[in-house]
Amino acid sequence: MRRALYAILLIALLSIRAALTAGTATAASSATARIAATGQYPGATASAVGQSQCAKPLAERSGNWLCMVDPVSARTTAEGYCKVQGCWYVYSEVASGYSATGYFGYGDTQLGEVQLHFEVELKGAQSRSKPVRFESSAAVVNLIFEGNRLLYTPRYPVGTPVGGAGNSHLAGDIPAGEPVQWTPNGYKAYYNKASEQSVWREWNWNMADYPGTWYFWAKSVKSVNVGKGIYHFGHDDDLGENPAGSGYSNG
Amino acid sequence: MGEQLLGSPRPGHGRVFVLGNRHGEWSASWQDDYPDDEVGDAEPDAGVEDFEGTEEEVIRWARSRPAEEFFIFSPEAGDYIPLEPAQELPARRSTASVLKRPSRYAPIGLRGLTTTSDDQSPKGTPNRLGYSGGAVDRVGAAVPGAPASATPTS
Repeated sequence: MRRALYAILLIALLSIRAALTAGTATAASSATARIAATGQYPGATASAVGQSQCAKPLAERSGNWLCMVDPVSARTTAEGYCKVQGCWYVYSEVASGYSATGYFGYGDTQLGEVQLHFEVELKGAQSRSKPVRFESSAAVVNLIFEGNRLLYTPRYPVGTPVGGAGNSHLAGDIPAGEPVQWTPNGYKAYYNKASEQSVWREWNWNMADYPGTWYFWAKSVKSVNVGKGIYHFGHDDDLGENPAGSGYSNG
Repeated sequence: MGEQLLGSPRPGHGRVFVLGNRHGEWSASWQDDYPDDEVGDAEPDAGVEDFEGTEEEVIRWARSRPAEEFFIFSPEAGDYIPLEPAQELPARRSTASVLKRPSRYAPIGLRGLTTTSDDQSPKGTPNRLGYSGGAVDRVGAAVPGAPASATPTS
């Protein structure tokens, strides 16, 4: 009798371990695939997915969703220019920032709140984004930071990625409430062949027990070429079309 | 996906930019755009070398680069202005090396700056910056004057 109980217990333990291992493998492959797909993410040009859920009461939502704070009309504050998707700041001619708060969930369950922030400084035609920060009220897995430079032309009012300038950073599994940054030195890129540019940023992550990938992306304030290979930021409301968005993908 | 494909700046070419940011970090970047006729397919079209450190370290590094032009960001001017090679290094928490020079244009976002082309502000106008940080050489080259803790950046 006791031997039978031990056997059952052993089988149960092995089953749990196998399930956990499978989950880890799935999560790892998901992160690997997402890293490989860096630059192919919709970010810069796609409309946000899943935002239709945000207009619904929590109890009526389905699938993954990521919604920003309660909608406010566009406004300029002493601190910056704010829209539903966040606030943009210009600290000087060569320094700008962006901050946003969002809520993400699955179905009728709100899983967490995220705080997103990044800054960009300009040295000549080089942009450096540091800090690039993420904090979630719930533990997330496979957090990935992505970055790229966008250039703007009349043909590309939403911006188009600069070839070869994209990069990403796998921050990994992040405990609840723990701020994390793109280490060690954020995202750098150099490009001087467009009169108007910006820096595009994306955060994307998984949740241990839920399908899909939540993502959020934002573009910095535009910078303009003022001569001698020097770029300056414009006003805090000088944004390209579609300056930020969020949603989820099935990957 | 990794670091952007860039080469090294060529001696005698390019511009060095020095910036002290609002977080107290100083950094510099030497940027050289290669002539189009010297760039082949899949080759970098520019050389960039970066450095981070204290204000004194960064300015020393900047001046030691064999570049063509040197600039430092002046919050007062709202622009990058020439970094004079002959001046002494600034004392900590001052930027005596910063000349208050007029902006050559009126950039978007310029706030409250009314300098003109005949602005003759004296040399040595201090700015509001005075920061320190750790040295970093992005391309991993030997950096004169950098402390042993220097590490490559991503």
